[in-house]
Amino acid sequence: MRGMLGGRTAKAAVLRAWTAVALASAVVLASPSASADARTEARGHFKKGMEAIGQGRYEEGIAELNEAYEILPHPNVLYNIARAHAESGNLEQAVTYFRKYLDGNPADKDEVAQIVKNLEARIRRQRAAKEAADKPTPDKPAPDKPVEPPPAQELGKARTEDVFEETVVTASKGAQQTPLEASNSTSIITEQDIRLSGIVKIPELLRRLAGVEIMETTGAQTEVSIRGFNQRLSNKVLVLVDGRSVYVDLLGATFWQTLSIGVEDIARIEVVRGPGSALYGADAFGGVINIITKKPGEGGGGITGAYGSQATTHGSLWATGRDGDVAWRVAAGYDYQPRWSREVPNGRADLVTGVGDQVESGRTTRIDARATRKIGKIGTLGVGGGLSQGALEVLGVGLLNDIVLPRFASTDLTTYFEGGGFLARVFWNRLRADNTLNAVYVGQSLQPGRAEQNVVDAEVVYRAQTELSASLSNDFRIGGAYRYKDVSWTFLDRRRVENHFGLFIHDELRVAKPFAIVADYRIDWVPYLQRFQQSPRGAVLVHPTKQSTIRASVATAFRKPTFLESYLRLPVQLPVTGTAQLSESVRTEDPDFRVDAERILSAELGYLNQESDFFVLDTAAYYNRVSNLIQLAQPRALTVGDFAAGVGRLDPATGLFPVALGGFSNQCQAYDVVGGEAGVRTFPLKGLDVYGNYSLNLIKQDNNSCTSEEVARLVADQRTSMHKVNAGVQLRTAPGFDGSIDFHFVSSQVWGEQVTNVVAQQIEQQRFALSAYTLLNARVGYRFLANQAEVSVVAFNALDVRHRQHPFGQLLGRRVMGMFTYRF
Amino acid sequence: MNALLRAIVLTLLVVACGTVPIDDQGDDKRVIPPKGLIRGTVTYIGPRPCSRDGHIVGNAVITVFDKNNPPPPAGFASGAVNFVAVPGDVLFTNEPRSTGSDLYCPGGAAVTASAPFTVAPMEAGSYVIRAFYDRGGRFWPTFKSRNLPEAGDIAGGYVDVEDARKNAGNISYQPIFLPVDVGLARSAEDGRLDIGDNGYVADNVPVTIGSQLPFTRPYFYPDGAEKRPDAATTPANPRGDPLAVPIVTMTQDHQLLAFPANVTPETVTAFQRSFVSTVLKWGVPAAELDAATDPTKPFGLQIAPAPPTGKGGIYVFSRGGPLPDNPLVAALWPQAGFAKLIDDPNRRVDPQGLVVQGSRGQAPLVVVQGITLFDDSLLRSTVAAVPRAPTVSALKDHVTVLARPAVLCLDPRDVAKGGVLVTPHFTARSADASEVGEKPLFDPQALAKQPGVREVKKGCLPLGRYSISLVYSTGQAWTVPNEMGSCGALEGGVALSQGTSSAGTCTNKARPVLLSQGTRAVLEIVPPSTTEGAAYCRSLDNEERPEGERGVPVECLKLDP
Repeated sequence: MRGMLGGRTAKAAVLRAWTAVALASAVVLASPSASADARTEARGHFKKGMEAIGQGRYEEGIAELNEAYEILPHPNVLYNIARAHAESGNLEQAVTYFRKYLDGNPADKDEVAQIVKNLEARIRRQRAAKEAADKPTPDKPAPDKPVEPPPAQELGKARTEDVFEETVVTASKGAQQTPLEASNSTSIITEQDIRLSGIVKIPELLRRLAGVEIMETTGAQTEVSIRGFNQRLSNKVLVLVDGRSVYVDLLGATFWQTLSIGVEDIARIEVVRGPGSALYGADAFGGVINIITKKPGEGGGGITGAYGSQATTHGSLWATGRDGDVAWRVAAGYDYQPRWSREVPNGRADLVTGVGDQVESGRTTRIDARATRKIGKIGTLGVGGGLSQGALEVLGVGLLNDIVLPRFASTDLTTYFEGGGFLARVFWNRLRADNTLNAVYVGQSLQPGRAEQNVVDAEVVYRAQTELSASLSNDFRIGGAYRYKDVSWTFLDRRRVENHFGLFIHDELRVAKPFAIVADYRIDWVPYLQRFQQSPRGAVLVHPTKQSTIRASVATAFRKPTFLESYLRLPVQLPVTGTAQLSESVRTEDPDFRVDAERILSAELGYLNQESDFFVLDTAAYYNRVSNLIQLAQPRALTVGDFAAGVGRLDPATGLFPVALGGFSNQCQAYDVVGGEAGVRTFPLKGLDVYGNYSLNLIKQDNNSCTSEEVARLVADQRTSMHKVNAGVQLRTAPGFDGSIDFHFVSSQVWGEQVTNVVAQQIEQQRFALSAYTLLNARVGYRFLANQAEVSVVAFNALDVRHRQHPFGQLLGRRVMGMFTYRF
Repeated sequence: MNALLRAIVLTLLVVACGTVPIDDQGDDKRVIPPKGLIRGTVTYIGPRPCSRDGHIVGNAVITVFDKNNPPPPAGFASGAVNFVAVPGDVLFTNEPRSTGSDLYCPGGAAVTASAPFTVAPMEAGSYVIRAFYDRGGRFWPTFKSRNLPEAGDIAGGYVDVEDARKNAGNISYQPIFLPVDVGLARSAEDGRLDIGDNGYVADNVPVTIGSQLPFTRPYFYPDGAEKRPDAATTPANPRGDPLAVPIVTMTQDHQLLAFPANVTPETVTAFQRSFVSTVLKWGVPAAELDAATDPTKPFGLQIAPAPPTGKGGIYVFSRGGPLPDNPLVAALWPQAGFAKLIDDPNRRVDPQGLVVQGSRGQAPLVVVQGITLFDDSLLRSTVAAVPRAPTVSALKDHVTVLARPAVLCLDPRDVAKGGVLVTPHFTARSADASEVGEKPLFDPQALAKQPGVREVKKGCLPLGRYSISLVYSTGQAWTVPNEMGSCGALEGGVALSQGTSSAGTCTNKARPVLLSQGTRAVLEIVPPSTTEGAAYCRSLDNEERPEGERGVPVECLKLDP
């Protein structure tokens, strides 16, 4: 009863949550010593400082810039401080700051070194002149002449660009641009968001964003989708780490726990809503999530440890450094996540389990090392690698709905070169895992297996920017991609190797300042389908003001069938002990059969306003037409004629008689989705950062392409919540108390899940209702030792609203963790 | 501050030591509900197994049936509750095997081999276990034509071994199958079984396989089923498909004559003629024989020519007593029965028209019990005249079966409570025209005492198609229609071959179609042929129901919720 979130309970939970938010807001509003959102605050100081310097009020301006630098260090601020000192005649201080700037090994280090040299020469000259002048004669007292500043051309141009403006690289594949310039609706999770939330699961960080669905199905598995169509193994969002795809082609999923990074290693997360195949190719279906890690040489080192409910553990340590042109960063960590709830109690005589520990859901030990080297003015070379290993529990598909990977090891090696308009990147991802079902009845098979996926990805992008006139500019990008996939798995018919190719172009024509046209086109060779897949996208951006954008775009995307969907061959034991359904993607009776790629056509209209220093408004409305979704195929009964062909005889390896053939097929139904997102983030007072957003998703199932028999088997699927609300408060205070409260409301869902009707020996779509739920996550922290140390308490689902986020998912309750961090 | 820190640390330690809760809401599809399982050892005693390609040919097939509803002849189950196969390679781990591609069957003394088996999941209940070793590797659980043992297979089960030993050599012997209880009795008074929260293991169940079956399954086809008549519609064949015109029909209100007081050839013949009958011929028609017996084709039936040229045929011999409704007529093997198939006139759910109603537990199980005749004659089927064992004299190339105008309607979820026996008439005029007036057709009280019958009701018979089965004492059976006679959903339609051959082929996945085993091979119960008959059915109940259901007891139409 407790977890059955009925109407009254849900309302009470919502009420409690809002009360908590209101109280927190009141506390914050009453706090006189709070400071604002770091980036916004730094941005304000920077603007004021540059304004003061422009008016010759150097002292005031330098103070503002120093404050900005203290809040959020940026090399351009150092440069401008140095330049202001120079302009004000304080050449020694100017040299000091220029040297600090040079410590960051900037691209213009030679020019700046020359400035320093000139300044030092000028200082020497002035000292000499002063010394000469200081030798007073009785009849000539020493003059008190002011130090002359160097001419402006000697100091270079001031860095007036808004260095604290948020930029993204994902929406246009690599080029830095602001969300105002992005052709898709784009959101950012900042480093501050991460730190203040206390969340240690990377995907859970995304819950605060509008249009993003987060589904914790087990203690360690979280599925993420954008604008709907989440599923047990979410395969419609492309997740990148610094542009490197971590999509597991084997299953079409993102196993977040296998990443070699922790939340402490993340600089920001960019989330691009809407189809992204025009730039990223297959699988960027609903959107793209790009995790941007901290760059080698930037920031400092640190260590963090967290421990809490049911022995939930998180630990990380990291260090970074720079030596001349070489910068490096090393991080390591450990995570342990227990299950939210247990499916198998102790003492069950009728079950056999795949792993003895029915408490552990995920365990990861990870190490990640990256380095960059600047090669003169040519560019930057980066190399790095990561390794993670551990165990993971997964809510899978079909009858394999509770899989455990008792051992996995994930490795990546990456190298890239960026410079002169070129970006070339090669990486190798490997995932090896043993798998077993979590539990089966005694006498049935645990379906043990072993999988290995090796992916080598190479990509070259060339960028050419052309200023055609004062009001006409063009940004052109062309690129090619190659992806080699080598997959072997006990559940596939054999080892499979695929070679994918893709070519893409991106052109952004800025006709006048307030108007831009963006066009993208990508063509991909999909080996399984034996055909090219095209993905066009077009967008028009109008800027009514400098800091606002109206955006209209149309895009398509596709998701290629995964290796599981393409090459599965697995006898799945049925409850009639001696029988199996042979799930096979390469159909015995029709070897030429192929499941087609899933498709989406999307139109979006958005408005973004960053005009004010006190709030940001972001809205979008969209229409999606989704078709060809891949599902489990209706079992095809074996016929008596198959016996002569040897199909259907007892498999001596399994001792099972195949009685039907399964596999995958495309859905006959399509979906028309209309939705929208509206979000606001405000900074009303120093120290107070309040956000709120609302997502609407209206889905209509189109069964026109289905036969009457197929329609009879369908149920109306409303797996994406119609309404979602996220709201929260972040607080930083000068005395060192930090905190955040995040509230999430997800309206009820109805899942049309495919289940096997063993009696009728058919796959059936059945309705599974999921109650609405609320989540209130909170963190309270205290910084001390000059902000180097921090202790905090983090609560997930603080109100303990027991709920599921998927009908077959585990029962989530409250978790509390204590955390300690020390940065050096 | 220190106190606060201590409190926080203490709280964290407490929550850290908390346990992960058990999912107690039961709607997590990964939560596996407690079930029972049967675990034991199967022991094979018999001839050395054959081998080929480095593998032992065949498997030990262990089938589990509801104790209260075993398969014919003891019950009505059309399929096992569960089964498991122990591959020959596992059972005969130490037995040498041939690596050649030809089948190698060594001679020599019998061997004994054993292997563990487990059948799970099982609901709470009492079960019997039947088993056999499929020596030819022909078993296929999903098809009626391949799901039972053949000649040469070794049969057994969890049986009273001592009793079987005593009856060694008795070819008519039927072993006593011992019950296996899965679950614990609720109480000393309430014997119903429950599976506890931790599941239940019925352990150490010994299954013995040691009795080699001497004859084949009673392959047959209804005379005329292989022919292609003109299109004709019936309620179960509204489109008039010529291949679905039933080989025999019986009206819902079928009126039988009463057994004559004066038994003469004429009166008994008149009595016999008042039954609906069908002639079931051995094997398949000559035109289908090659397709039916070719081992490289899907069926590979063991059909030997019937006497006098061969040793094939249907053994017709005594079951050891008279019919329950007529003490003068011998009950014979093979037992004949008709089981109602699901109502699916447009073949949407069951394209081949093979699914027995009630086999999925969603509708009543309805059966018509047949009477097997010796030499086509009730007169020759007297207790004293029929062979007592499956000897040469018992071997026939055909058998005539009478359909009783009565159905037994059972709840497949609880067969143990017995069914309702429904017959349209309790009285009739005698088959002897010299007898005047109506006389009882049977003794209702005696019938009500029959196994499986809890009540006898007057009523019209449920409309529909009824499959035809012959069952031997060994449990070996043959049923028409079966998969060989039509094409499955993925196989396409039936393309008839030209000429005299009655074998067709499937249009999508080519394979022979034996029309003699096809959709014509049914008994169809049809509406009354006269207005009086229809009025009679209507008069049997006052409920407003569709015309075809009037007068049919509700127990035969739907299950209690």
